[in-house]
Amino acid sequence: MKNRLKELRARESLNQTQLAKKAKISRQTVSLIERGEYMPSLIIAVRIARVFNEPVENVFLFEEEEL
Amino acid sequence: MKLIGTTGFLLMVGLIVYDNIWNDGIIFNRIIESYDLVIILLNVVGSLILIIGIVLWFKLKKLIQQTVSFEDEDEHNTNKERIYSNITLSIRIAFAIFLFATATGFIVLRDSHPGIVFYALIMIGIIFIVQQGLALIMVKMYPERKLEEIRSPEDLFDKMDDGEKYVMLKAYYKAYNIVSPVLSFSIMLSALYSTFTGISQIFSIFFMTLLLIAIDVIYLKTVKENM
Repeated sequence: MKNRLKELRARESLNQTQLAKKAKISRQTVSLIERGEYMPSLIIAVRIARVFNEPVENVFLFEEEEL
Repeated sequence: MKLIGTTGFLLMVGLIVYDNIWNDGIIFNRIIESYDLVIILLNVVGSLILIIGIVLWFKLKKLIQQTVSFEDEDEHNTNKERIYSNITLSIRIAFAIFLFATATGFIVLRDSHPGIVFYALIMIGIIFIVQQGLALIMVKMYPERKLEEIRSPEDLFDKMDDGEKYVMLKAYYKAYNIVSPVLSFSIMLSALYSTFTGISQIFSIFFMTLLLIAIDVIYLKTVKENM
């Protein structure tokens, strides 16, 4: 699974710490997700997507074979 | 890691067998004869590691008070988290060293050199105080997370988000995979040591076996309950 976290953060002028505060998660979790080392739970994925005002599938991108 | 562990185990077995069969236990006796030096050395090493931890602590306190720009905030926070884990590591290592020095020093040196054993014991007390301070620093690092409400390890676990729990799981899984074989090796080493030196290790073998069973039972029971 790929994600657009870095790109969307840049668009919204947010650093990892600010995104973490807005999504009510830790900066470490934002960093893990961004590096593709951790696939977030549904609730965290939705919270992050809401920060960017995007649907979840626009933030987290699945390859067809992953589904 | 496995290669280092196995080599270390074989070297220890070789040393015990060689020293007691062909060397009349000379190495072991020399270590015991100069055990005061061993404990002094451990006290020095433990103190140095603790001092490193305390120096890092002051560095972290300074970093917490700093205000940084938007661009530097992530790096600044990563830096703080790394320093915090280095402080924890130094304190844990120093604690293990002083615990070993106190326990073995008490066995061998309690009559001849009580002062150096007492020093190690006092350092354990200091480490407990430092650990309380470390918890307060954590509260200052994450004021929005209300860590001061934590009363038990379960509370701390509940305060973690999924990403932090995932990192913890990875770390514990690694530790579990190391502890189990190391304990098994330790039991075998203790048995060999008892056989060759005539100094009974049955008591420690009993507790190591209990610990081995407890670790496996708790791990597998938790897995089973969540199936």
